[in-house]
Amino acid sequence: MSKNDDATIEERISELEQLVAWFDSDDFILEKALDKYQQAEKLATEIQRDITQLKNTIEQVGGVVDAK
Amino acid sequence: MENNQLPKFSVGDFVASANQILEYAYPSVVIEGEVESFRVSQGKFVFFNLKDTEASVGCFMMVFSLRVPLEDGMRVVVRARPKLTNFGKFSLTIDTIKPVGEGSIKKGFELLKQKLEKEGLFAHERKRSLPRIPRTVGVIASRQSAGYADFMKIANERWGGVIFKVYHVAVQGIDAPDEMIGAIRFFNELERPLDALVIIRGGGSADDLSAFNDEALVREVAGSRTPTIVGVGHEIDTTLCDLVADVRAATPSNAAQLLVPDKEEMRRHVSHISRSLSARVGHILERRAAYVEERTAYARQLFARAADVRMSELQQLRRLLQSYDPREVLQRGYAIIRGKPHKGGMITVESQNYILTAEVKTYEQK
Repeated sequence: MSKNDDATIEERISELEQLVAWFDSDDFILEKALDKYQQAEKLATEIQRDITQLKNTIEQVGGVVDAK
Repeated sequence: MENNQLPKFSVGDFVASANQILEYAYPSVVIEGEVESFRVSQGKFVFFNLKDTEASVGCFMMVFSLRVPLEDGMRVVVRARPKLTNFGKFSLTIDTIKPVGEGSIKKGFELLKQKLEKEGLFAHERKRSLPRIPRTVGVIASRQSAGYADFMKIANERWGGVIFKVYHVAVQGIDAPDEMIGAIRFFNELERPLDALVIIRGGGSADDLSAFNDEALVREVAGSRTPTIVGVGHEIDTTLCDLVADVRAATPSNAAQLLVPDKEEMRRHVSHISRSLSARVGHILERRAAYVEERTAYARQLFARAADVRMSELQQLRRLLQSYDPREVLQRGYAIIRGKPHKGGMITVESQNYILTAEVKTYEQK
């Protein structure tokens, strides 16, 4: 998982989209572009990896399976 | 047998004794028949006869136990307790009732649909959307059913990281609605609310699916604090739970498709973002370089224009200065006279080519 372990995939995709949007925003500063680019690339790689590794969990919480 | 050998009761004791025997023999019975003389009294008590070609029996129930609208002629199956009333009338006290047979199920469905539609339970404005990627999901299903297996298969293929809390229930039969209501309440009372609640069942006959047209269940789905997705039967099947759910899925598999995103699609999306970012950065750098070049050219242009203006001003000044040069005046034929004008005085006269000395013979003031 990424350094931001608590963030969901959705939150990290949103973070990635914000990083990308920064390049088109008024906040764009050429000096920071390389940092931001590398940050976005790293995040994209981590998201890709985490999506592949995710597994669902099934918990039985109620009802008797024998019953129809 | 002599009378004194037979059991002797007061009337009240006899009725009580008969009820004890009935209760022992038939604590609860299931009977199928046709509704006749249906009526609701004082808005609270329901009376009708249950009949077939050979017999008819009076039935009583409380109106809140009536989970499907009834009309005379509908075939129903009831679970009831037989009882002899204090007036000596035999009747069935109904615990549960549901229509059976295609015609009656359809009739009950239509009557309840009209009623709930009038109340606005199916209104589009009531629908809530599901989160894009749910983290915890309640599943109400029969774990032994093909519908549940299909749902989990598709959900596992499409996405991961979701905690599915599965509540096993009967999804058909007279007990199914209450079991599903219990499951919905269980999930809605959890301390940490779920992101979505899934109610699924595979295909079946109209009778199999009729549990999902139970009024109390439909109202429970409508009132769920967790957004609901209902996928019951095949694409052609419509139940009232489908209509009242926040999201209606055509089948259990479709419910999984609507609930979770496709991981391959998501990976392609992230990959696309990543690829387009490097192109975008390249484009931005090109744009910045072009901008700097354009500004430089503009600055050069401004400098050249300013230099031209200054040069032109300088030339004008030089021309003006030249016009003040005395030699220019002498070239035009004028002369410069130096000395004081008085009779007999000496003066010098300078022209373009000569300097003359002369004596003043006369002079007068102009």
